[in-house]
Amino acid sequence: MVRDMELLEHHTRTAQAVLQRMRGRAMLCDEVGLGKTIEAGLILCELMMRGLVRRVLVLTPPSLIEQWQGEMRRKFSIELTTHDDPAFRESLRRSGAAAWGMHERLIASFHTAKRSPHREAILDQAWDVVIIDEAHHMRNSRTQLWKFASQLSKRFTLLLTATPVQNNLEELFNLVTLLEPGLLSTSKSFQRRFVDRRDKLTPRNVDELHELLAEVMVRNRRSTVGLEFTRRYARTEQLAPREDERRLYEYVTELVRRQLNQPERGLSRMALLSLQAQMGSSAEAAAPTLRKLAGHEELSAEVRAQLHGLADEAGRVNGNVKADRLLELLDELDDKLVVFTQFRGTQEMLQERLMGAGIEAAVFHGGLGRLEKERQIALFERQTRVLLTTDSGSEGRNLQFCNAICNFDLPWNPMRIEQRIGRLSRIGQARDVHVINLVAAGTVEAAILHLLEAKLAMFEMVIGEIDMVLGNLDEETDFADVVADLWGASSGLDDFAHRMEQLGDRLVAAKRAYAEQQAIDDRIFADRFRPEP
Amino acid sequence: MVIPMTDTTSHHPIEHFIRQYLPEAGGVWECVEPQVYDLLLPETLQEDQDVARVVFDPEALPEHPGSQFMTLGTPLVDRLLEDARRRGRYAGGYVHGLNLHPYGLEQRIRRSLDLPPKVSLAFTPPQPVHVTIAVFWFEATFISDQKEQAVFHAAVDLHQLRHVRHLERLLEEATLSDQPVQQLDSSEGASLTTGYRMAREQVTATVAAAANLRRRELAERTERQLQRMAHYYRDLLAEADARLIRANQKQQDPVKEFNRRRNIERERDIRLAEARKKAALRVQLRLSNLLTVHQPKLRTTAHLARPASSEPIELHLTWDPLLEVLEPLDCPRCAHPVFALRLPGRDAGWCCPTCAVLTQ
Repeated sequence: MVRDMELLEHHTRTAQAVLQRMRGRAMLCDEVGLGKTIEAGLILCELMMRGLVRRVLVLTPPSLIEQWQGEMRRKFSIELTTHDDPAFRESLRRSGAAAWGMHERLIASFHTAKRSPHREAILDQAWDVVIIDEAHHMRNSRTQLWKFASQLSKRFTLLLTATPVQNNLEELFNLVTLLEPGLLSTSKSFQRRFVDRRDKLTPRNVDELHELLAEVMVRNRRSTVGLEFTRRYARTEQLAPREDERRLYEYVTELVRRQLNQPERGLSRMALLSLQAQMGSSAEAAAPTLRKLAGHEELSAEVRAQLHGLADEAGRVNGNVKADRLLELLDELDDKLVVFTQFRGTQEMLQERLMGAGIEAAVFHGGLGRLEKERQIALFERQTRVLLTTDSGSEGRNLQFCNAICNFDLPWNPMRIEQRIGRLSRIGQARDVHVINLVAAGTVEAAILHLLEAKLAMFEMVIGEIDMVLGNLDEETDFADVVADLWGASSGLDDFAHRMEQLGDRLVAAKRAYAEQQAIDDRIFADRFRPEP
Repeated sequence: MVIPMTDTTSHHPIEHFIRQYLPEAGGVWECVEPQVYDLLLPETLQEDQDVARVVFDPEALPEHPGSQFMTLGTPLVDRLLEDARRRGRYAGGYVHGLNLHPYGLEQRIRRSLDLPPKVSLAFTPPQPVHVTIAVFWFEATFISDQKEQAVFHAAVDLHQLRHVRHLERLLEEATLSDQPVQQLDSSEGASLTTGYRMAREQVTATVAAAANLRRRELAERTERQLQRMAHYYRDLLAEADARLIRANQKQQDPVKEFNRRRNIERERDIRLAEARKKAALRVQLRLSNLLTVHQPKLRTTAHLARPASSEPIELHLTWDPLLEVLEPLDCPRCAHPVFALRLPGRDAGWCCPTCAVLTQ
């Protein structure tokens, strides 16, 4: 009963093991990119179809809520309600925290769930199943989050994490205790029996420990499930913008930064950041926004006049250095290419430029009807060399017949970039995947790209790993917001680049920490926890 | 150039079911566009509207406001599934294509029987009749912390009131039809209710064995889990007590430690109750389907006579043309099915060899 996905053998084996042998209480510790969410969805779906589960609570970091909602809806037809949904807000308004008892399938961020008054309301409920994604956030039993999770009343529990151990084996004890208190005895007894006194990360009585863990733990590894992705090759082309493009970018950037730093600015932070991102894409994307903002009556006459002037200038920009390069690239490449942009304005401009050059392109965006979307994908598969697509709506579409993508502009959130690459670099892709990033020099996007590529080597990472690295940053806000804050606080591009360098150092440390975690987990768990066929 | 849509021949399982089932049930479907249908439901399934627009792709919902999304758990799908189950609950069929004029039937019957020496056997011409065999399918549901379902079946020959074991051959599609190929008399037999009781008795024994096995496993596992938990919480409470004593010794406010202890107790009670609740096993057994199969069999009456005896003994014999065997006779004394017949006394009728020994 699943859709838009390829169910692999290890997914079904895991679901069977969890449902039959582990009786619905398990820690899913697959390596990154093997589909822990799919496994959890399968288990949930099966429990629901068997009539064993009605009330569902999913807890995740805030950045994953939307992704979980989307995946459960698209792949399993399971609708999860967040505390931000209008229906839930209405219940909240009418009945207060009792709203948590009025909706059957809920998803909440860790931060919301552990906060009063939600915390008490959630603890007051009897949940049939609780799913905790990125459960490594609960490795420490002294945190509020662990205590909250341990007090939840639940029949079935799934903990999802690729890295159950980071600093010491007690973290493993804490996670297992959430699932089944007493399985690893008490903390002291666990330390005595299973932890080397000289090194908190080295287990003793390994066979006995593994035997106990096997009652609740599944860990699939790429090497054991025989799932290897093809290689990815990324190249970034940093292009010097044309004079009119550069001038417009600088003016808009200056205005946006000035506005951001004004306490009573009259424009929302989101609108300003969106304008800045549009400028990083093309003048065509920014022009309508500039015009719209110029009509904002809360702004001073001076700012409105400036915005008017900038909108006119954006309309006068004639040409786009990245579009020129894209046309050259299409001459050089003899294969199909997916061109991603975030904005419709840019997409329309590119469509016009390609048409002018006699290149037919399929065009895909969220505003198309369902069937038109299918038609455009079919057109790309069978007839055109180019697919011009925005980020929205392409999830679940099969694009593996193509192996090259071009990021015409760059989302500030690396997860979005990863999602783009993931459309092609996935199960079923037989060829190496080529990623071409086009970026204008001296822009925010150029700085982000430098950080992601030069510091993190993000484009070579396995899908899902970037999330793990960003998770190690210990930031409560999205990476895009972190970048936006740095950018807003910087005095100019040089200052921004300097601040980004510092962020880059933290990212490198986070990546190193992630690699260490992986090594530790591999050493402790080896291949012992794959579900038996 | 018209670009065809992506392949739509591989339907979602529910979509496939609707396309197959609805026309069978008297309804009609019309595909409006891929994964979007108008359904004309059969009268028995109509509620407030007779035509329903349904979609199998959630992305199609915004384009078809007022349509229903078809997935498991939605009212219309549940109704259709329930209807399909209801329709499939009872069916009847006739076995055809059997040889009702077997060569050398008398000799084959004689060879099948083990008779005392010096007796003669005379046959009346065989008569083909329809014998009813009831096949019962039971659905057993084992519910604990997981739910397992299993289907068990039992077939009963209502004429002989015996269990039938050769179901595969009996239900072979090529020899089953819903109408009789030739009109035959029906043999007398027990009622369906009697057959049901017999079938249920047989299945209950199997289900009980399966349930006991599961119950034992579950009890062992829960006991282990409860012991571990009890140990874990005992240690936590001991730790909390030690902290309380230390707090008292240091003349610190003990409220925090009291609360801590109370929280541990609360959590222990919840976890132990959860574990105990999960340990209970419930089993539900219900008849899910019934099929009555009318199979032609040959009935003949044989007269068994001893040289010195005045009255021949009448034997009612049944030849099964499906298996091409003679069906055993029920011993008039012990009711065991037998092929060996003995004549213990002069006018005492026949019985099986065991009963004959007991008589002597």
